[in-house]
Amino acid sequence: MLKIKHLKYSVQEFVCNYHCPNISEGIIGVVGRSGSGKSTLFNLIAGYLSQNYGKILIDDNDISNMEVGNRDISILFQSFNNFDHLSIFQNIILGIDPKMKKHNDNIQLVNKAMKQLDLKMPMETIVNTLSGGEQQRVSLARAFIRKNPVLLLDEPFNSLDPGLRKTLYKDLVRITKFNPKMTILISSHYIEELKSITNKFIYIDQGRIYKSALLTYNELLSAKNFKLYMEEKI
Amino acid sequence: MKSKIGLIVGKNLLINRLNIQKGVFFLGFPYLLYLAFIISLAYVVVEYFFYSEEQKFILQDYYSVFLFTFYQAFLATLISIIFGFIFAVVFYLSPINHKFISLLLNICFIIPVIFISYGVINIFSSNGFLSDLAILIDVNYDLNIFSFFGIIFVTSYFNIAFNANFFYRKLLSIPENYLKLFKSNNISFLDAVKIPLRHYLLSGYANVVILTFIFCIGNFTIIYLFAGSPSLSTLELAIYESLNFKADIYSALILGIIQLFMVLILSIPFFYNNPSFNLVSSTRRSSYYPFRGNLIVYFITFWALVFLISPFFILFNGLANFSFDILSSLTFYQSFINSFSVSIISLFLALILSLSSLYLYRFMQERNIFINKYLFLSIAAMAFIPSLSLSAIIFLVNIKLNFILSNFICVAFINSFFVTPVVFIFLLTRFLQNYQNAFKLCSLYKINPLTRFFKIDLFFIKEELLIISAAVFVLSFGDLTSVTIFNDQSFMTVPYYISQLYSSYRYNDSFFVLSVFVLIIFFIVYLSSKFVSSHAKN
Amino acid sequence: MNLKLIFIILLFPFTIFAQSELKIFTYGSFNSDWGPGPNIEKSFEEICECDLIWSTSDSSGALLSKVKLTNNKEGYDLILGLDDSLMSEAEDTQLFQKHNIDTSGLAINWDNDYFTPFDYGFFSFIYNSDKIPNPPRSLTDLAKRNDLSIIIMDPRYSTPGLGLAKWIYQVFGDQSTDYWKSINDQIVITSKSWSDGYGLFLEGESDLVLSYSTSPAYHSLIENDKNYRSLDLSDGHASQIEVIGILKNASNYELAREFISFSLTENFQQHIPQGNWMYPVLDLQSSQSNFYSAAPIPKSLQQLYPSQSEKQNWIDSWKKSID
Repeated sequence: MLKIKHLKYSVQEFVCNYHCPNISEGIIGVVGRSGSGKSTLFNLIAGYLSQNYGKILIDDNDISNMEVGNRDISILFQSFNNFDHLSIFQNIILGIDPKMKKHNDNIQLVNKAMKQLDLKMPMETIVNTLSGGEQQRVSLARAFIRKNPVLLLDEPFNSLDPGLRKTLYKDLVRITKFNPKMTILISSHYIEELKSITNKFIYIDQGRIYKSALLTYNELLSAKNFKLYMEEKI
Repeated sequence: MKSKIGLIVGKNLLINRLNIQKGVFFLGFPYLLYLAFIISLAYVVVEYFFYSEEQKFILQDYYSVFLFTFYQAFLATLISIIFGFIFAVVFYLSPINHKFISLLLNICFIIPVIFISYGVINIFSSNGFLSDLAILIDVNYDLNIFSFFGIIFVTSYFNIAFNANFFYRKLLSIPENYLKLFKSNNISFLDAVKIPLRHYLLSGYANVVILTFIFCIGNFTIIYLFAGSPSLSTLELAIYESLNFKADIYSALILGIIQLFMVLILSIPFFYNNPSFNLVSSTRRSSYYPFRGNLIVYFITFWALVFLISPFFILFNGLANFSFDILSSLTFYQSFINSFSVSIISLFLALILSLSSLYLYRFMQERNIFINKYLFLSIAAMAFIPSLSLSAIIFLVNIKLNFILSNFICVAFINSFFVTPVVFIFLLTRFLQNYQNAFKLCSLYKINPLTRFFKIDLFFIKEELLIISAAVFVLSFGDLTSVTIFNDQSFMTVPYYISQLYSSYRYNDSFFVLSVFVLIIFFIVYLSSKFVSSHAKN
Repeated sequence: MNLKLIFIILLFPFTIFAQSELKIFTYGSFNSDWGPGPNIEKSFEEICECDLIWSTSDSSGALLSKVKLTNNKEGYDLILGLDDSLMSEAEDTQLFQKHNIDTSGLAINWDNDYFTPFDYGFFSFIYNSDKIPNPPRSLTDLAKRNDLSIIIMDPRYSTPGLGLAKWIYQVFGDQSTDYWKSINDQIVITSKSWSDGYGLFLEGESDLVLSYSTSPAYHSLIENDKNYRSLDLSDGHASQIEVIGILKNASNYELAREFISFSLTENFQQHIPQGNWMYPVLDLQSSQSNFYSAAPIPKSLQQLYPSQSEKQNWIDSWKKSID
């Protein structure tokens, strides 16, 4: 379980104050208009930004002041999630072995991860020869292989076509079955698509988590400013 | 129990931090060594002037040298700008394959100066092609190539190619949509260049002009080979003469330092624009090219090609003078072994230093440490240090060390100095590509600096590294500057050997060795481009 | 036990078979394939049971400056090819030691404790008589012939160039700079060494080249080409004596002396006329009659041994004419 307690971050005039003490396991959609503070929240949780005040807890462990690599978090960005000049094996295994050594244990782990993500090509394949969808699967495989309790997905499928996004959402759902205790925060503007994989949402509005709690889809629709946000999107 | 766990966690954190620090130190060490070396050089020079007995240096004696240095640099730069632009435009408008033109211009940039110099002599000398043609058509021919004309001609040759390369690549990279816009609005090429494209074509050109001017100021090899008069002497040649003929290290050092300061001041504008050079890799031409040349364009194209290609005809002259005597001489093989060895060592040193500097530059960039700009300066500035100025300083250091450094080491060292910034600047853009995301990934997965560098970075820049290594190997291989100071019976490089043969009136032998030399260079370039293209296919 | 040490101990007795070395520093053309160096080496090594090692410099002018700059760190035993005009400067460097060799009985008068002569010649201008049927008869005449282009060597860096500066001084005295100015337009190339300049002349870059009155002998005797001639100037021709000196930190003084003694014998001197194309310091007119016929001795000016400042004055006269 992920807990965000009065996490304050300010830069110039923009002040964020996130509080959501009970973010449960499973897939949670993170929505909000551009510039509302979604990526800032993700960067704070991951450790790329340092909060001015507040705490982040994972399973009651305070990770607020830990270095990025020591937090039990995996993160996928919108782009450049892989070292695309390296092979699938190297990209996946560096999630648990930074030296990317090729021994039997590692090979087995990667094989298993590739099977789970339906990657059928040889593991020596260089990533930049794969399609966009396949490349994102490689980064998903790496994220899951780490078996971290928290996975942050910061608009990872935005650059893909709708069909591919749908497939990748299905993959996500499928994999969470193997990791039921994982908390997966996925941000996207395609709320209808998110709705197909979860009924738990965090709505970020002007640097704050609306109602400091998870919302269902219906609660989301009736949230303040949300309708405006949706209309603007349309 | 908690405290035990705390200890273990703390120990792992510390080890991790130490590993990172060890990695950073290991990777950055060559650069620190380089800094220490520069500081020691400066100290040795300052100490020499401080403690040396009063020595005579009359600046007035060198006024004509200063004047000539700037005059020939200015004139050659002006010619190079004008003709560089014209050549680029006519090549662009002509139907000649753009890959061929790009290759030609790239080769003209890295081909040894001595080759083009003798190639030009082969055409213009009193026993050359033009003279023979004049005899054939019964016309008087009295052009003296060993004169100001010869110096400007050959100096401009390289810099015209350099400038033309810049403009040609720009023209090839004009976005297709712009071209379609011009065509649909009936805008001619000249009109397009005059206003809409002017800013696009000229952006970044200031650096090219500065570089051209600085290259011309540091003109040595051409002056060494062509200067038929003492009034045609640049500062570099004056330093060479002070060391070789006057045994006057004091004057050599003063001239070297004056030149160094002049060149560094001239290079200041260069550093305000973060320069990046991609002169060697190819540019893809858009599939839509609406502009075509006319008869005048084709006429100029023809003469532009004649200008660039004609010096290469000395290859035929050289191969026609195949000599078993030369092939069986020890000096021939010794000179090639020396040249290869010097080039390998200077390439090795350059790669270590430039990769270390690149790593540190990115390290600082990732952590917003502002002094990375000074690191950039400290490396890029080496490109502007004229070779003979540096040779004078190294000579002084060697005197202080009682000549423990052999001529071979001195030349390899000096060569590595001028190729390091070429490698650094060439690789910088690619090395920094997506560095922010890569940094995030590496922090997340705790990839230590050494792993990141050896298993990720080097593979990422593999192609560019190979291309630039071949280019700088060739630059070092064909160099004829510091070896004119640091040579002895057992150490001379191929360019020096060729110049010695020529000076001994063994013209045929010198052209033969020159041909063999250049064919080896072509082979190296061919091998590297073959590897790169096969890798791209894979 | 230390293997390296065993190796050295086993090989040590063989060191008695190692030959002593004699390192000679000279100018390039002396030790070229067509120069006298290889033959002299062969002759000397037969008698000395030593190994003669040549090192060469860019030009004769660079010989002294190189050892001066490095304090002879290369460890040369002898310098061969210094010009008589540089002897005073060479002595001032205190890099040379006395040879203690008897130099009486030579074809030229000689008296110097530090240097011994090995050949001599006279400066002249060489031309192709096919192209110039009516050559100049004096230096003044030469200056008037604006149709004739000349290659000279740089007086600062080449002994022939310095020789020309000396020659002009000897003929024109205080009017030297004026004379230099009068021929300035005719000088098309000022090369850094004799071989550079002479090669360019043979390639047709000029009508005349500064060289030695003996140069045509090479073309006549070796190439069978009698068209190359030396100007025969009424002013007289300045002379040059080339010398050898032993360096102070020579590793083998006795061997160096042995070489100098050898250089004054016929075994050495016989290679000079048709090797270095200069006159030998021994009288070999009977055995080298071909050479003396092809290169008759011209009218000569007085031999000069200038101080460094005098030498500098000659060079300054030339420099003033080009500034």
